[in-house]
Amino acid sequence: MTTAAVAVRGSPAKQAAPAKKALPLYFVNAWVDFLLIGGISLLAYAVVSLHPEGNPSIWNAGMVLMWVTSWPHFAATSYRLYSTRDNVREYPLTALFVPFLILAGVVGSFASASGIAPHFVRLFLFWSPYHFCGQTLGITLIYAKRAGFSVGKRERLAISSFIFGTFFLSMARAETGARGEFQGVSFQYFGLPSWVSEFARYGLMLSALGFAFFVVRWCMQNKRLLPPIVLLPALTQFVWFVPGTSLTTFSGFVPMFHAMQYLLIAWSMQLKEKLDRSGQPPTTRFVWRESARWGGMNLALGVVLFWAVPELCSLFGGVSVPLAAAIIGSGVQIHHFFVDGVIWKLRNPRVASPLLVNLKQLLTPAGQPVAASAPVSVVQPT
Amino acid sequence: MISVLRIFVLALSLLLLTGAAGAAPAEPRVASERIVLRTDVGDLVLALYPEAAPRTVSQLLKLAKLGVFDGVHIARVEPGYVIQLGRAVDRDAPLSNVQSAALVKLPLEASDLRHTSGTLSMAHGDNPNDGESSFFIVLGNAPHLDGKYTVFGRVESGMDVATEMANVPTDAAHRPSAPLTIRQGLVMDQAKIGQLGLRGPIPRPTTSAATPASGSEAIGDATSPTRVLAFLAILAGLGFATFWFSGKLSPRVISSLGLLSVLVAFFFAFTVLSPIAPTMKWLAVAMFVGTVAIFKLVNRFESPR
Repeated sequence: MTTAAVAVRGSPAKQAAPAKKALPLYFVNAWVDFLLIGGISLLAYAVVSLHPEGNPSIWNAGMVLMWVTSWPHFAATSYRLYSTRDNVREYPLTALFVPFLILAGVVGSFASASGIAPHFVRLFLFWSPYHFCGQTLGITLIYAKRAGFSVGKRERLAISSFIFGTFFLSMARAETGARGEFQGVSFQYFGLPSWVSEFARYGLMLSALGFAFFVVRWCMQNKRLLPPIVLLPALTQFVWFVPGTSLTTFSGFVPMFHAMQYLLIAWSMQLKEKLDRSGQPPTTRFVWRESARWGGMNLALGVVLFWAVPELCSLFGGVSVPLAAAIIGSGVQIHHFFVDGVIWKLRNPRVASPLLVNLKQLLTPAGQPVAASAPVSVVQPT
Repeated sequence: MISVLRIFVLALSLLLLTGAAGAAPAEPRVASERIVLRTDVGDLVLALYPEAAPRTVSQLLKLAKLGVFDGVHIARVEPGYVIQLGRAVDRDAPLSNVQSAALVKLPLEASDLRHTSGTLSMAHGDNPNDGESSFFIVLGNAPHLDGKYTVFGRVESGMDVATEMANVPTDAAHRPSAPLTIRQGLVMDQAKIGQLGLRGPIPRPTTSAATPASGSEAIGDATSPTRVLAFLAILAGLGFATFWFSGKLSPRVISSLGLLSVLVAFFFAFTVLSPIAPTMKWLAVAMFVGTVAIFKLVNRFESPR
């Protein structure tokens, strides 16, 4: 009888713990993720820097992008909220009450085009870049988790400070001015003293240092470079809000770049949730069909919200189309800020879990055997 | 008889000749592109004469397309005489490298076009060939400028806006007391101008002061009875809904209703205080920080407590 103590008769053989499953780094693949999350933005910035005067081709491209990315991304938010009763039940105020509150703002703006409308539009314009920061932060945290970059309180503070710091600086600069204008609606800025922008600038520099510190520390601890995709959202945000603001042509495209990021993630989420709900086999055909259905619906709804409704308001309300578009657009987008704030909470596991999948994983049929772990050798008693 | 007839014909001819000489020259060809200046007090549409001043028109179109006029201040206002733009290099936002490189000296392109109301003419210093980006709008007849400055166009639309500009308070050097700025300079095809939604004159305060004493007036406008009642009605509705349904609502929803009340009250304060914030720097900073704080608070909307 061997003296080697391996398996004791009668006790169950210990199974090796299954290897911890690594999260996929990308939603689709490196190229697609890179381009949609920020690559196209950075390329556009480089191009526009060389030709800041713009030309008809650029303006036409902007109009097309607005129709196929910016407008649908607002529609996608509303679809996500209202497509399931679970969401409406979970967020009743956002789904059923806030729209009426915002409608009051829209009606008040039409009723008082010089009194309420400038403030309503201005509220949207002030809120919009703040909302961009929330999305950038969320995307950064998703990629950080996928890359294994553990984000504690201090890391989160550094990342948030940098991302929101870009918003603070760009808004402080804008609000130092006297008056602004959006689609014919003229409004007054706060007229901030110039030291606020200086303060914001130094704050941004400090937060950039903090962010860089944690990144370098992680690289040294893990003895590898942090995947660039983790830093891309924050870098893109910086380009949008700091150097990009001096290029009028580029600034006009920023909402569309933001929408591209959103659509990649919302599309991925939509596929995963649809698969889970329908129980259909995950096939390429399913991906194409569901993507076409979802994309087409958001495209149509976007056109309704941002073109048809303002046109109707102008026709029946006797207001100019730009004014109607500014007010309706502001209302839709303020609602979007509310909705995005509730439906994308990463702390909600129902939200976080589907955000960590990859398209290839989605297309791997369930039940496909996982690679078996090596069995522990059992010595038969002699 | 014949002598009288000859004298008559001669006199008539002389009369016709002098009349023709004194008549304004026919308007030159106008370019299809317009420069639209969107200013603090309204929009101006500028028609350009590319044949009368080809280099000047070409250069100004280029500068407008590059955004050089965005943020340029009105440097001089003399009612009945001129409104003059400041230099592009003096605007608040610094020029980019491309914009700076586009600024070149323009030679004088004198013509027989007259300086009359609505005429656009290029400013220059002592050297008539050092015009760059600053130009002026003539508000009345100024024949002493004829032939000495490049006339390159006219105000096609917005002379009422120019009149409004001319009424702003100025200092002894004819500089506007409060900044008067071109928010945006656009180049647009004449056929598409109608789609822009041009703004007419936006009245400016006529009291001269760097800090207008109209804070109470602005508050008065914002707190009109209708507006106050509307906001109070919404707040009351929110409060009533919270009270009536409190037994059936979860704590999360009740707290979010409270947050909505805060948001409505904030928006009311925003409409009241925004017009006067520029006159009080501490208020401006408080409004700015407060607005960001409200957005942060709304992040907690319908979140688990």
